[in-house]
Amino acid sequence: MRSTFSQSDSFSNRTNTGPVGRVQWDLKLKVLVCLVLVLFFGLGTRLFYLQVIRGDEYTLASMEGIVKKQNLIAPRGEIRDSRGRILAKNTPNYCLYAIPSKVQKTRSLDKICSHAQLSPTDCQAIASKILAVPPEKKENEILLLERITHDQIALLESNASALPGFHIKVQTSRIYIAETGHNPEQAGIDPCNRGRKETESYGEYIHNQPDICHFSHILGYVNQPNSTEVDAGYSPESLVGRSGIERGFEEQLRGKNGFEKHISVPGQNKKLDLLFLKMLEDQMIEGEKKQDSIPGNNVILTLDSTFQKAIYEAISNPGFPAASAAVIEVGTGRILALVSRPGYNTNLRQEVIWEKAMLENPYQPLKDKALREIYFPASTFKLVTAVSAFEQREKNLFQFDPDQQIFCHGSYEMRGKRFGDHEHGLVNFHQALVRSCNVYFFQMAEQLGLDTIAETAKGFGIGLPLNLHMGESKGIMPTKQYYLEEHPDHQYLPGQALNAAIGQGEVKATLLHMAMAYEAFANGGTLHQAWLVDRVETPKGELVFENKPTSRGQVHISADTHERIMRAFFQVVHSQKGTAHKALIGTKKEKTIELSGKTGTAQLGKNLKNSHQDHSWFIGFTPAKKPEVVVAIFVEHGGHGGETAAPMAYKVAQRYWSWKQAQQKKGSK
Amino acid sequence: MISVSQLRKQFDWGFLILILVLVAVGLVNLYSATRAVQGIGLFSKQLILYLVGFSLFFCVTILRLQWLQKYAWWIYAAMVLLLLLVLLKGKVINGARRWVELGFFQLQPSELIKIGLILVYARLFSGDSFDLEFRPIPYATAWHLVWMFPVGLIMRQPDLGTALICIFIAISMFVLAKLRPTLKLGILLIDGLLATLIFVFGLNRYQKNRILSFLSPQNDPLGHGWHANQAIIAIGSGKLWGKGFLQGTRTRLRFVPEHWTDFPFAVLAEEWGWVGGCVVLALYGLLILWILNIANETRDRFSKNVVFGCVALLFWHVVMNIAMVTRMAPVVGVTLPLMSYGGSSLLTVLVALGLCMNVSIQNRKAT
Repeated sequence: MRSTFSQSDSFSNRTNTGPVGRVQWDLKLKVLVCLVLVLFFGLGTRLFYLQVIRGDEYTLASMEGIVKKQNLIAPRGEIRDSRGRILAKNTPNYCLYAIPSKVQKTRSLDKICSHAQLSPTDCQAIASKILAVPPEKKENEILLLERITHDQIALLESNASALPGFHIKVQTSRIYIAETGHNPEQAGIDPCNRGRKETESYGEYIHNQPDICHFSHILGYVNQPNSTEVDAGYSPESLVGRSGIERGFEEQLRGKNGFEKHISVPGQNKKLDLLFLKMLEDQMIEGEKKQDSIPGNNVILTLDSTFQKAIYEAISNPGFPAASAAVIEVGTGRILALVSRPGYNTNLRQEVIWEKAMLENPYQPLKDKALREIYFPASTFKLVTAVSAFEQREKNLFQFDPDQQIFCHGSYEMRGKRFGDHEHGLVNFHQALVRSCNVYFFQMAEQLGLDTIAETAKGFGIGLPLNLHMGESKGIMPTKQYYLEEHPDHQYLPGQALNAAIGQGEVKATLLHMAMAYEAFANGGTLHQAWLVDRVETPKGELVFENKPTSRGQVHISADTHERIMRAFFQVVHSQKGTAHKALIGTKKEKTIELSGKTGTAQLGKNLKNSHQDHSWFIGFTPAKKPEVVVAIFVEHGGHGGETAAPMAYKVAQRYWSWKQAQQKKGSK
Repeated sequence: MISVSQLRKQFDWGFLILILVLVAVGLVNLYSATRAVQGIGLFSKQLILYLVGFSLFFCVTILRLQWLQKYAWWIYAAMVLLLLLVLLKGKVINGARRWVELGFFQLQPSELIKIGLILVYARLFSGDSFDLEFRPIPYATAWHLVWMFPVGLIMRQPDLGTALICIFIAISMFVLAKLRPTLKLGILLIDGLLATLIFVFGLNRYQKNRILSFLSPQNDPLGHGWHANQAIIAIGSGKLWGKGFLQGTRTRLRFVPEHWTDFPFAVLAEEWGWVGGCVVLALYGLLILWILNIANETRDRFSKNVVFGCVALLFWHVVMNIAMVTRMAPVVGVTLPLMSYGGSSLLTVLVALGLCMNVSIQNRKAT
């Protein structure tokens, strides 16, 4: 600058540039040229650093986020009843999503509330959900509302242009329907189980769905996988069975998810040309592009939903809302009905308000009183004690004459300890069983000992797993060893055998345990595996596997023993002195159904004794001579077994026969 | 006026060819940049703008520079008025009020003001040499006022990138002007101090964050540093030879947002690699040196100053843009001359190049 300025003609308007023609570069310009060269060299070096030195690193980074793997969720298998009627299936669940970065906060939020006809609380919930998203996650979609109705969808779709950032996605959820008619039109007429109208959304549907209560515990429920399950291979969008058949047959029902890899484009850009995308796909996707999902298999139950519902209704008694019942086919172990009252509407399970109501309900609807809750079997256990005694007698290990009478004066004393009962006077084995005389069985037990009884009980499956994989309980059958392990501080008392003999003490079993024990007795001693699932089929109807009666063990029961006990069981119901004679009250003699069985009255622990009635049991067979089915009833706080459980059992037996008749009619048609 | 045959003889053909080569590279690159996302629409619009731009270029080429010198203040005033108009009636895009709707295209007066600044400064610093030497204070004051007023208006839009370019042009021309070096140094030091104060207290948060995030862009990958990071990934993945024409996945999938306006160099570097990037850098370097040579050859002080202004405009646009794209400078939205999509920027650059061509022709005429 100085150089230019200090030229001789500095006061003229022209610069001094030497001779005309090739002009010399003055110093100022030379400096400028150097500056330009240095800066451009610097930029070139920077590019060299980025592209050549760190090129590989950035190439890796450039692949990131372009290829997305999308899971193709395998449709979960259906659960059907024995006649093929759908009990559980998948249904589209329309969900409202938003991408927070695209939502115009105030305007869109107001609009979505009016367009989707949202309640003010939902509206606020949505607003806070969107506002709570941290800035780095604003590009990710978030779930706002589930189960939106068809009306809402229509309104949202027609106003889509005014609602940028919002979109609707279809997800799958599970719906439990328990249809009772084959024909969907008939199902629509059925007051209890309306068929689903095509126009109804999932949300409307489950609220209109009055009752699938007779299946709630059997079917169970599903929900989203937790993080450990996701790590173990579950896709976050899939569903996992949590209880009932959904849990027990998870592996069959879930199917196998597939995947699809595709090029993902950030943001709203949907205008990419297809050829370019295709090229990218070929270039960037390694390995298989797509793997189809394999849909889950259908599980077909042994239960007929008509019959299941009939049984559910048969054991309803406003005085005793908590009860359970099982009907088991004798000779196979097939479960024909298995209900627990009160049931609940599985479809409402996700709703917090509903769940709270269920947990506060004194009759504990969520508890499965047939499979998961264990109780003292009480006098129904006397079958086991009796079979044990006869078995020992045959082996000449135990002397007793079933026809000899003993005198029952209402209590039994053993080593200074008194075991109480009602007074029955002179009773032989038959009378003792019919009238449920504890003293007679105390006497037996004292000589048999706890371990002998426990041995027989094990033969009947009591205290052993039921192997249904539905979260059922194992029950408890104590032995001497058990007492020593469980209560090491107390000395084992031989008196425990007496308690066990009448199904008290520490003997605990589920309803199904007892039902299966009676089934084993009825068929002559074969303990069957109880089965609830008839077969598993692929969605196309190919058989995956079929359940057949399987034996889990054998109890030795001689013909004489069988005959004696059967006779007594018949008298329990049909004689005036029988504990269950009240079951026949109000029935006409000529139309009486043959029902035999044993009552039970389970005494409660000390803390409940004063405030609650005892639990009531009845387990029996129909018909009495050559039993077809076992009928097992349990009534929580039902009082005496003969008072509540036995009349219910009679009703159940009635329902069984009328159902069977209807079946035969259908068959002959 | 000069005859056509004279013009042909005196025309700086090498300069024109250099410009046309850059234009061709820019168009090819723009085609790639806009094709995947916007179809052919943006590209054809830009082609039309090139036709308009080159007409303007030739008009400016044959214009009498004395006329421009005479009316420099009026041209400047008209452009400042346009800037005022923008603030009053401008169209808002992406939160900034920068555009005046002109039917088929939107004019960005903040681009045009650069030409206004160049002309005014060229005239200011080509005044009486005696004045320049012995009464520098009024000149320095005028210098300040001339850039501060439009820059203030541009910052209101807000458009940090253009404001910075205007300041850089002003400083460059001030430094190159015929004033006492000690005076220049003193004034620039005081201005630097003031600028620091303005940054701390004057900028709004959005502008400040953008500058600050440049310093540590890894900290907020989806925030303000997002553009810079994505551009770097695109450029880096181009490696030595590039991915090939139309194969730039990163830019075409719009990981680099709006890549046809502020980030065309990322597209180029991704598709043509380091080699392509260097060729384009060399072309720009050559262009700038060519113009510096024109400045060197000219004897008229006004013309010289005009050429200095134009070269400053080009230089700062190229350097700022590439520095911004390669994360050496904050992402402030500066276009890359002849490569970016956008009419106002293109017209401004072509007018500047036209002015240089004009001076070059004058030089040849003189010989």
